[in-house]
Amino acid sequence: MTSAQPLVRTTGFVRPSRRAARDTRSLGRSGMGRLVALCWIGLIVCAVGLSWSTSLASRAAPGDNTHFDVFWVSLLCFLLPASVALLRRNTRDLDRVLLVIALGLLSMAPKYLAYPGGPAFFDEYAHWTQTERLTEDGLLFQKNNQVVVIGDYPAMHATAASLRHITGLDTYEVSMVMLLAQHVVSLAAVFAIGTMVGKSRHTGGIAALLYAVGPGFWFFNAQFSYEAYAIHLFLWSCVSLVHLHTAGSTARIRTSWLVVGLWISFALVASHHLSSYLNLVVSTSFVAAALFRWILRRESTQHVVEVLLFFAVVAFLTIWWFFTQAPNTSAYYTPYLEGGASEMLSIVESFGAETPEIETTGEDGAREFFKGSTLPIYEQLISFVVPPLAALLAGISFLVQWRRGLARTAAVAMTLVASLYFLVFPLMLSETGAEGARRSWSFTSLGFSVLVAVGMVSIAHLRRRIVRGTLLGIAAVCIALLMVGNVAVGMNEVYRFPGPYIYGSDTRSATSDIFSAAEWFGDTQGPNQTLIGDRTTQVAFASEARATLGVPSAANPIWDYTIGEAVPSDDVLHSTVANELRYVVIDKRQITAIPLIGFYLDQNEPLALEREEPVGEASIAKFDQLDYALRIYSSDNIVIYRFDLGRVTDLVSEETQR
Amino acid sequence: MTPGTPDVGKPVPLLAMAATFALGVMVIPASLRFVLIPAALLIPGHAMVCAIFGSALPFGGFRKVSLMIVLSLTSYPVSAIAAISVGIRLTRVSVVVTMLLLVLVCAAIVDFRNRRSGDVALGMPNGDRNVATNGAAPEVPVQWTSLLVPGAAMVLAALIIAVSPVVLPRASPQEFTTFSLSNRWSLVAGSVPIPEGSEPTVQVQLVNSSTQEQTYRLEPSVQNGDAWEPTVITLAAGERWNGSVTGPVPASVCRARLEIDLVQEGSAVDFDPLVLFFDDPALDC
Repeated sequence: MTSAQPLVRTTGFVRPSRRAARDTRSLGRSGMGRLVALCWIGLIVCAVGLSWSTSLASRAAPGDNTHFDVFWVSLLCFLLPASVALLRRNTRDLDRVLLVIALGLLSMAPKYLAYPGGPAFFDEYAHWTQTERLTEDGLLFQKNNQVVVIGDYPAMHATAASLRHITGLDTYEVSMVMLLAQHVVSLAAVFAIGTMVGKSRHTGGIAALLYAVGPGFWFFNAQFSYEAYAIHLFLWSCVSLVHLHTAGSTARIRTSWLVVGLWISFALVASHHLSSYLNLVVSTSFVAAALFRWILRRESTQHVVEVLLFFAVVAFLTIWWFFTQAPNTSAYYTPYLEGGASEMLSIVESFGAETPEIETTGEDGAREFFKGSTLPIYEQLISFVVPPLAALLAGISFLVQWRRGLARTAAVAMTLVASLYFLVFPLMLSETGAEGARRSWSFTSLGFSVLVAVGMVSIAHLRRRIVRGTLLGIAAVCIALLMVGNVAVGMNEVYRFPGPYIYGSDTRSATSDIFSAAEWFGDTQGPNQTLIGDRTTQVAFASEARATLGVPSAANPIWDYTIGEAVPSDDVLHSTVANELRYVVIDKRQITAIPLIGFYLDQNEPLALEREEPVGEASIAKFDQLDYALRIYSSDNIVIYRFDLGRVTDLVSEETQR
Repeated sequence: MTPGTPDVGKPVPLLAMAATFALGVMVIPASLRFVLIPAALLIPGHAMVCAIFGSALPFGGFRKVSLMIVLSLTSYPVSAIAAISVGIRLTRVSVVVTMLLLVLVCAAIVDFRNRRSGDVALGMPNGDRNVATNGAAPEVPVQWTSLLVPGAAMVLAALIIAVSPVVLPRASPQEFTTFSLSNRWSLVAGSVPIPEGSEPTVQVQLVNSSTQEQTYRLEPSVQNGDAWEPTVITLAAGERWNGSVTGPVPASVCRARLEIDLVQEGSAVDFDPLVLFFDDPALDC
């Protein structure tokens, strides 16, 4: 079935080929045994180093970047020898598989070490709460005011709640089990695709390695969220598509893969909006590749029909879910699409101006890269190296494929997916577009990984030992650079490392006193009480106390309660009565700093992302004048008010009568 | 199954495995059910792989186990969506029942496949045959001893990472004090009617969430009224105090404002006072 290392069926853990067995015998001669042993020693050193870097980070003084240095040195202790081992031709298949598994498991370590014991990222709280509620009441599709769209996509929460019922673990423990499994099976999917496209496990191992150092894999997709869950389904949907194109397979096998692909795609559609749309985009790439090769008479009509059938059913499922099961999705996307479009328009217009100042001023919606970043300078520099480096690697690999005559539909499709990876780079210039570009890379980097793996495999087949060794070393360094740059682009420091308190930073602003207040609130006031607070207190109260959150908007500016310096207007009071908003939580630290995220509660609030000074002291003193605000809880930083809704109603009706 | 035909799995072991798993979920105490994690991640997927592929899966080992995990992870939400569409909530029983139903359907397909394979062996017409067993190279058994070093390294690394948040030094925990209304007073939703001449007893809770002993003074006061007696409380680290403050409320006043202030000795923290309102029920407030 393969040219280099034939795929062999076996009942064992992996199926070593004859060649692999021969390689095993020659281990001592080639030194591969020592290299692989170095990988495992490196893994232990890496574990110690990562742990140490997190400990250093939590106690670091401002400006001290030692923890970054320790983090990268530790990680490279494993990544570099593992890269060389996976790049070399005579590594045993078993070792390739084990290294890929280790890489998948290790990729969860930094997130765990930074914030052990519970959710930490903003979205994680919403998904954690949704899972807890689902476990308690057993109802799917329930609204969640923290991230309004997640109620439309219950697959991950249903999986976690089911596993909770089965295993008796709590939500955090179940999330860890799921994430570890997802990371390993994601790399297994890339491994499978690479193996089929490159016809060798050598290619598969390199593809998995490249995907593992790709965007989002180490931090963003290590969070308990529907997107991280959906990505592994997306990858296995692609495995099914690749199998549909595998030459030599019978109709029965292809039918089996069609069934698997559609089953997984259905679960994917019910998991996450963006992932399901990207699944459709990638399916389109496969259709285009199949049609292209069919026109060249290199693809059978049967294969084309099968992939068209797959695409049609997936398209139907995606559209059906959007219109019938996901009522909040359209409204959720609209501001992003409008914002992205207007920012891109501004940027395009600014290019036409005489003195475009895109990267220095941040005007016209353009981004200032790493503005206010605490990342070390080498990470920032390497992140600028990554796009041209990735383009160079992809270009060389494409030439390798081109010389081979684009022999497989799956390879052509993966090349098309890789091109999408590069097409969204201009979006990085806009604030809203950058978010979309970063999100898409977790998906399209599959194409990049497979394409570049096919090219890198060629290095190991070079005859001249010195050239081969040098190029392998360069390739390993390139992989390390990709890793550093992708992590730097994907996550800022506060999401990567623990450290001192930073107001409005999501991870570092969710302090013990907020959770203590939320716990008191849940114990005394009970669940489903409607409240308003800032972004951080809201997630804590929604998750810990099962509070229902008020939904602010331009038409319903209830942020006036938290950041407004004047007493709330009659319109806001009216909305308070209508929505039975009973509680306000104030973090007094709001007058000491601008939120790191750029806004206190919502992106629509006044001066969101533009604020240069924190809100004034009047924002927390205004309640002293109000005779309907009962202060029922107070601590060093947190204050909870309960509104006398009877008194508020009186005030509203008095005003109406006037 | 006829010897020599492809092994596409057997329905009875599949069902037995699923039944044992289901029994485990229902019988084993919650604190020990974590032992079912591998089964939860593999059994539904294994049943689906047997039903969909039979022996036609063109790979085994790592990728097969991965596919089983993926199919298991997808089987739960699909079952849950199917169940909720007919009005069944997600509970431990419904999860187990839907999983058993799924495995039952898979076992039926496997049985159908096995009968068909038997027909083939007897010379009955058949469609496609399995290619994975045709012309395959001889199986090379995995040397399990070669897993020892990598396995040990992975376990050791996992242990180091798992325990390091507890073992290695981290930043000191945040220290703070909380005080709040307690018991029924925490649920007060409006102005509290206090008859003239009576003295309310307001229950308060104070928690010292610092690492050392702290001394506090509660200073209640009513606007335009007589001062209430202050209370001095000393709390050890982590200690909680539940008590009350009491005093007179001025007569014939609507919305008399009570403020209970907290002063922490030796600290510059400016606590916001707790606030309540009192009404004289004799007045039309």
